[in-house]
Amino acid sequence: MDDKKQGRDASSERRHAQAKKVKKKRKKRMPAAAAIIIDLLIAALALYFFSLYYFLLPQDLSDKAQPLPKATSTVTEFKAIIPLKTEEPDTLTQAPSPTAVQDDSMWGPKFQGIFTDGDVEKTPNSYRSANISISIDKVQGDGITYYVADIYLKDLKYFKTAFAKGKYGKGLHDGTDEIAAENNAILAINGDYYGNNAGPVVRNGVLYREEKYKDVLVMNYDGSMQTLTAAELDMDKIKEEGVYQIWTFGPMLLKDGQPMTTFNSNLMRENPRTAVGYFEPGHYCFVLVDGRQPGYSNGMTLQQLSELFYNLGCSAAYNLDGGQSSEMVFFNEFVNQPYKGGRSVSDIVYIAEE
Amino acid sequence: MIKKLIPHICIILSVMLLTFFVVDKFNPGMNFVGNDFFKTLLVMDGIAAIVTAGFLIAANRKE
Repeated sequence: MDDKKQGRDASSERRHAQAKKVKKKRKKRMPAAAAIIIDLLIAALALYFFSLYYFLLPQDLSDKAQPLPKATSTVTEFKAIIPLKTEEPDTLTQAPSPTAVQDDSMWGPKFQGIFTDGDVEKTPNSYRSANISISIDKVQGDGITYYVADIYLKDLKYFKTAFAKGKYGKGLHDGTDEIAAENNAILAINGDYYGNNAGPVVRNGVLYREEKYKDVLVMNYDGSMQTLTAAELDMDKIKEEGVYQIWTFGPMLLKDGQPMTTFNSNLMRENPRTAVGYFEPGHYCFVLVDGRQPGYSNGMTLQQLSELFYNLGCSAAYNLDGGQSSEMVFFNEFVNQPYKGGRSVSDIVYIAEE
Repeated sequence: MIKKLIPHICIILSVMLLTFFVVDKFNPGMNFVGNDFFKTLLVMDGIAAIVTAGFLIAANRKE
């Protein structure tokens, strides 16, 4: 009996000891709430490093550049010989007069009278040279202030784009005015902020990124522009035939030249806006709408912007990055009043002499 | 060890995915939902969720 009792006592002591051990172990364990908080902190840290790597740390990705073939499209369509003197030739077999100058520019003959003979005429809101004509109008009304820059070009080479720091990459930013100054821009607007957006990037005939995302604006080598949805964009064809520029932000603002009421965007309400309009090859406009500044300008909805381009007579129009990014610079001076002084951007669209 | 770590991995990945989802609502242009990083996280979270659920079901059956 005693043995049995002793055995029972021993086993109960062991159980006690084990229970104590378990209790001790349990006491040492971190509370579940604390463990979850630590998990949340780790997640926050992971997100921080993600944004640091993808958006904040400067990364030069220029090595991904892939020059596209230069399409030989309809650029000769407008070429013509403009005689400077009207003397009759002595004989019919005479060689072309040395005084006749062939205008090899793409659109010079088409826009005769718009450019100067070589002089440069500059006012606070206009610029005219032998190659470029720009006039900027400020429009105010209904609580909205916007600027329309009407642009005529003699050749496609005066329509350019530039990256911040002169490189394609991530985390590379500069003010629109700074990038404009570096590139001797006459007129510049912020671009599509490709560094923070998804979608294809082609600049000055070089393909940097080909992932498709939303609406794009394509500029061809004949100076024409077209807006395409992601479904309509054929990157294989573009790589084969080449294009001059592709911007990715959107949405498109005109469909077959008509104003739109629904857009492929969530940013529908009143905002500062930057947009590009296309009339015909060589004739474009930049529109800059100021916003979020009560008493000066509230901004435009996408529908208002679409109607504006329709009223201007554009056949295609495309919305670029807006909000605080919306900036227009004319000879290194801000034309508009950027919201909160503006912000640095990835790229600009600009007009410059060679 | 894996049994203890997996639920935490599941929480961390889920919080990251939810953050991307919310941020994407405010700035869809940045394509947080739909890029390769998001898709990789989604797959990893799915696997972690299945493993966690497997361990939990097994533990419940033992009780």
